[in-house]
Amino acid sequence: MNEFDVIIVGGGATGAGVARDCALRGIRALLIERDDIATGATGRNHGLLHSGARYAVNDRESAEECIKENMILRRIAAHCVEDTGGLFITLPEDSLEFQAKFIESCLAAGISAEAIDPKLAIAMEPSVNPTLIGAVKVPDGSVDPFRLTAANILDARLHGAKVLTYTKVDELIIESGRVVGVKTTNTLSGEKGEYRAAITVNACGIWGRDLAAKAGVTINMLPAKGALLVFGHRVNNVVINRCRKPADADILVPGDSITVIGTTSSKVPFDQCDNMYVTPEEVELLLREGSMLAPALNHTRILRAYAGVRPLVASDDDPSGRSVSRGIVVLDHATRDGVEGFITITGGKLMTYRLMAEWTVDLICKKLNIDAKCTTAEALLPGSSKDKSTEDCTRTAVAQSRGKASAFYRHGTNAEKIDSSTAAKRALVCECEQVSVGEVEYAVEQLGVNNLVDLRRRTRMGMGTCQGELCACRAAAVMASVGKSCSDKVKADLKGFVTERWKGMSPVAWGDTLREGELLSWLYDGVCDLSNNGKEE
Amino acid sequence: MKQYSEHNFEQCTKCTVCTVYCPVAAVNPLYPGPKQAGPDGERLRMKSGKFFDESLNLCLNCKRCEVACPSDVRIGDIIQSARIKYSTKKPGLREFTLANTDLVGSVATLVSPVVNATLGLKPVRHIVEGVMNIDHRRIFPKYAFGTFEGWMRKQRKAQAQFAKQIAYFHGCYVNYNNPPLGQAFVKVVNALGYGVQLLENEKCCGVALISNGFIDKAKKQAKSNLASIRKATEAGLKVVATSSTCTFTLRDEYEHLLGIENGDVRENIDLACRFIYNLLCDGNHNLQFNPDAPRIRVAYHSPCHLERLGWTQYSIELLKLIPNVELVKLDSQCCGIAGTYGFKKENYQTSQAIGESLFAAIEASECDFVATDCETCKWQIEMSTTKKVLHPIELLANHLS
Amino acid sequence: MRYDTVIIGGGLAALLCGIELARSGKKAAIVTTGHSTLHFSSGSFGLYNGAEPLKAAEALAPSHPYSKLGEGMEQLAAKATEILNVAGIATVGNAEANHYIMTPTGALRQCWLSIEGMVTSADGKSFDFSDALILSPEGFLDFYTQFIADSFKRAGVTTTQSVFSLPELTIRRNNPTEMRSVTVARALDKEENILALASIITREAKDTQTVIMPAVLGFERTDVLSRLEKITGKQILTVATLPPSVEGIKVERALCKTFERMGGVIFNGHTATHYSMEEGAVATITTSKGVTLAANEFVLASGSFIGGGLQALRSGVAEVLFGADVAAPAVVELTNRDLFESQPFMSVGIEVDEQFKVLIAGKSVENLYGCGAVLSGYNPVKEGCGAGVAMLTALKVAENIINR
Repeated sequence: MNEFDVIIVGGGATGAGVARDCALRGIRALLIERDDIATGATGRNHGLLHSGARYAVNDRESAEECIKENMILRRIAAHCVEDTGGLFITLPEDSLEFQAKFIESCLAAGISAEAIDPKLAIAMEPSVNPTLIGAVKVPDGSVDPFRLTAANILDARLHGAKVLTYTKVDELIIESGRVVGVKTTNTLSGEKGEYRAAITVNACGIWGRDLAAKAGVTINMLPAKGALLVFGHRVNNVVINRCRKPADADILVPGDSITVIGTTSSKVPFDQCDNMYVTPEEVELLLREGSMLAPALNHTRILRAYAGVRPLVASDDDPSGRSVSRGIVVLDHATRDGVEGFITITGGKLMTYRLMAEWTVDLICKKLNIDAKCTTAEALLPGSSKDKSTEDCTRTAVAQSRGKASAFYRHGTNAEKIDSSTAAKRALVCECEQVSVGEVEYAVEQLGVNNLVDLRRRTRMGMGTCQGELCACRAAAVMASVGKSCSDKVKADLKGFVTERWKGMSPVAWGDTLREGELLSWLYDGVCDLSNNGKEE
Repeated sequence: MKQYSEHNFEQCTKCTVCTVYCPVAAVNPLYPGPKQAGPDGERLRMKSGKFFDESLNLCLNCKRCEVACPSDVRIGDIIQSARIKYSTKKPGLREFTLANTDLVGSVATLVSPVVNATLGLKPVRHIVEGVMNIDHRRIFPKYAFGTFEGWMRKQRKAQAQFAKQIAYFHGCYVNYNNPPLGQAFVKVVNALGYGVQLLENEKCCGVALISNGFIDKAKKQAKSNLASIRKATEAGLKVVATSSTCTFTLRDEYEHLLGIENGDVRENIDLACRFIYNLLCDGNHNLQFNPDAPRIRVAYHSPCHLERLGWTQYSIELLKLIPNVELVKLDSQCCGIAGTYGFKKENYQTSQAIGESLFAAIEASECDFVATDCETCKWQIEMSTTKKVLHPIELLANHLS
Repeated sequence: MRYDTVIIGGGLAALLCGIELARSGKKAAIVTTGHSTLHFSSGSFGLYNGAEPLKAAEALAPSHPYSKLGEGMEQLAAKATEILNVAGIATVGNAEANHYIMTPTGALRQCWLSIEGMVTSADGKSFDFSDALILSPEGFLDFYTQFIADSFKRAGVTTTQSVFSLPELTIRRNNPTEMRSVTVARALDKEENILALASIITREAKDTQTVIMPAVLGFERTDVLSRLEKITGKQILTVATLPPSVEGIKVERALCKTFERMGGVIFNGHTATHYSMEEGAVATITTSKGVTLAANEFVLASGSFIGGGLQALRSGVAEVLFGADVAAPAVVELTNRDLFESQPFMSVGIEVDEQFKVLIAGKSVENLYGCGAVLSGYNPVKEGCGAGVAMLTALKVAENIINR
């Protein structure tokens, strides 16, 4: 029961990718995540489907990896990706000389980059700063990290992998200098567990330092905080980047129904990685720089602010930790530290999660003497289809069921599995993002949803304009009736959910966002009196 | 001052107030309702036009959602603009006939006795339903024999005698169906010392063109009307209309739905009741009423577009000034006709269901007449109740000494 | 147009002030941007949290609006209750001692008044019935019966849960979003649906004498609950739903009608955008619809941020119409990160003098009064005094205007 070939710790895109790759190669894999999937850095970035152009000048290797993976993801994860195209714009205060170097570097890395007339750029993307003096068209897009991770998890499970979320690794089981398994605690039930495998993979991102320490291994990591802002609706339909040396807040990405600007970059202490707040200074910087890309941001409603932590890894040959590796880092602790059965996969970026998984599983295969080729670059993820585009599915669905039309964006062709046969199932729980009762039930039953925040990650419930004002309560009730939870648990969940929503709203609470906050507070603290409910527990 | 964004829908806090006041959603489950069709849907349509849903055509553009909205969101405009931008339904013969009020009117007024008699016949109405999808239960407004413009041409000299002048935007209804309302308006305005002129070239305001999907033609007519209104404005003439919908279209819909700039003349376009009431308030104008006019009970119905203009109170205050008129103010609600909306077979039931409680209130009011500023409300109420409907200006004219 | 008093705002404060002025013979007008926050009402009115709200209010800081009411707080509370009753809104409760109303999530929240027919408890722990049927419309997502059932269970009341449908509601449910409280309430305006529901109640409740339902009993009609009680012989009680709040809407409508019946005029859909001053007093206001209103006195009852009276820009908080003096911290300090902690923005508002005259640039304007949520110095949610401040300050302002 508890014996596997590989245990993967960490349910971000990388861990999910490793689990899927293992499963597709017939390796028995167990994925363990202390929270929900995609809760760390995976779910806290731009959602930019990099063309690689951003790295072309300074980091050719990353740029080449990006463009390759970009093309692969468009194919295997069509429903998670939107082909928006991207622009690198030069503003009057930037140098046009950089543009020439930029185009040259892009082309050298195999990225198509075409300088276009600024007027054409404005026609392509009307929200772009009209004072631009140069523009380059690149194959950027957007990718939804929640969907991408969920699809990898789904496929891993379909191929026999086991996935445990809300499960914390307490210790690594080490026998004669070899990692042979993990001891765990379920964070919801408190239940203890013990799982064994020949190889344990550390895919914990910034938290990987702590896991490695449990094996007595030191990895020098630097947590780098990146803050981002979400705007209430799509400001731009084409990714807008600043054509200069990569700097703060110079990427504006349209993702599903919103637009994201980011990021800042600052060092944070390890103890803050679990609970990060966006500071007023970061908000200020993001808005100031963001409005240089698209002036409309200055008067667009900001839904929320959030921050993620990039796991920067100090190069092994630099004990000072100052020289940082930006690329993919696969550490075989057997050769590096003399600890067998333990591999760390880190560095890299969302864009290269699949490649990171491929390298990791190649190493696993080598260690386990398995001869199986990686197929993740060809095998489509569940929900993706060569024949049916999301747009077509939406068009046909919109007249029959509003929820279904939106669901195709979230689940690809898997949306067909959502029950919309009755009025009860078609009823919308979340009106902003059009999430139906049927979709909530599908997510709870098929996508490993434990609470409202998980549900949000799978469905966008509560990610719209009102940030869960009406839908949180409705969704809680639907979930409770599917899962038969007691109402105290449901209320605690509800309270946790709106608290989490407010955490993102409060750094940007002015204008309409503050009005929304007042209504949110009035409803949940006033009308419902949830703080009172909390006291009773 | 409250405008934070060029995208007005962002001010929506999802408070659901609009959903309470939508007359269509209350009776027709096929209509998504103002919140979903408006701000919620707009956000998704910005992601992809595929989210446009033809059921938005069920919106009757009453704008009651806008009046109700505590956040000043132009919900109705968002819905109508989405129809204009995304709808792929092509208007047909029915839409052409209903929309081209001036073209159809100018033909019909030439042979009005025949038209009126024919459209009054039940078999003909059934044929009209079969061919045109216009509901056979719907009674058409009668056409006048000869137009108001024709009558005005004969008045030109007399009107020129007045030192002060205004321009009258009479609208298609006064011109083709009800010249006596225009004549009443001239009588009242003359009594206040103003002569009445017509615009150099008045065309239908275009409200029916917009709602039936003839946007290019509506734009053309809007530009033409604005050119005439600009000329009148430059000549120092206030432009006054008796129809609340014409006024609303000229002032607001041109800019909001057709994107045609009218800010330079907007404040110069006024509604008859407001214009007259303001004159009476300035201390220099007076109307002499006939003290012996019969005592009547009048129930006032406020049309949707007048509510949206925010000027209902002017009509009410004006009616209150008439001696021997006992005024009952009906609760403000949509009558269901919405111009040409209620004529369409698929909307007939919705249309009548919406008006149901208004009709009951009218019957219960025990009034002698209903008063309203909108011609299509008049058709609907006269068809659906036992009462005759007059424009406040007609009541005013009738009671002048 | 000219009035004795023009009130800016259309919520509880504006309407109570308007009614009190109108019934004292003043010609009053209300100018409001759409409908009010009564649409999110819980069906109850809070005066102040604590067992004895009047006593609790005595110990408040001088900046609290209640501290400016002087000795007459008890009388004002009585007058507010009386006006609600005059408008046809029957209430339960009094200002001496709070009682408790059940919230949509089953909590028992303190309140001063609650609308008759809602689930309340005198001590916040017990009910005067031992078993009940909880009956909710099928497919109605804004009311979760398990919350209510578990709350009763804690209080020792046994409940059973059931759903009902009506042919009309089955049709309505074909719209995936519009099966709202108001939709159900509208259906129950019809006699045939009341009769159908009555027979469902009789069938489902069997021997149980108490039936708990979401507050959806009638939209235009106010007698649906009593009709059902009469036909079934059961006690029927309701619990508020998520917005829109049918009970709140009924309160707003009843107050509007009362105001109009007394000669008041409501300019709905109008936002006051400009004003003019003459000799240190406000002379006119002009609305977004180009209507200019002159008056002897003006009342600012325009609400907080959600109501549109206040606006938070990144540069700071402002009162929208007059630019009146505002007591507020910097924008970054308006919020607490924890939603369920006291939110500083809740206490933000305009400053008024002892007579509730609005301060502009440190000076009180002699004919401009402020009342309700636009005022500073209190936290309506945490103190449970939103409705109380709205109604009592509104009546105090009316009193000051009448005595002027």
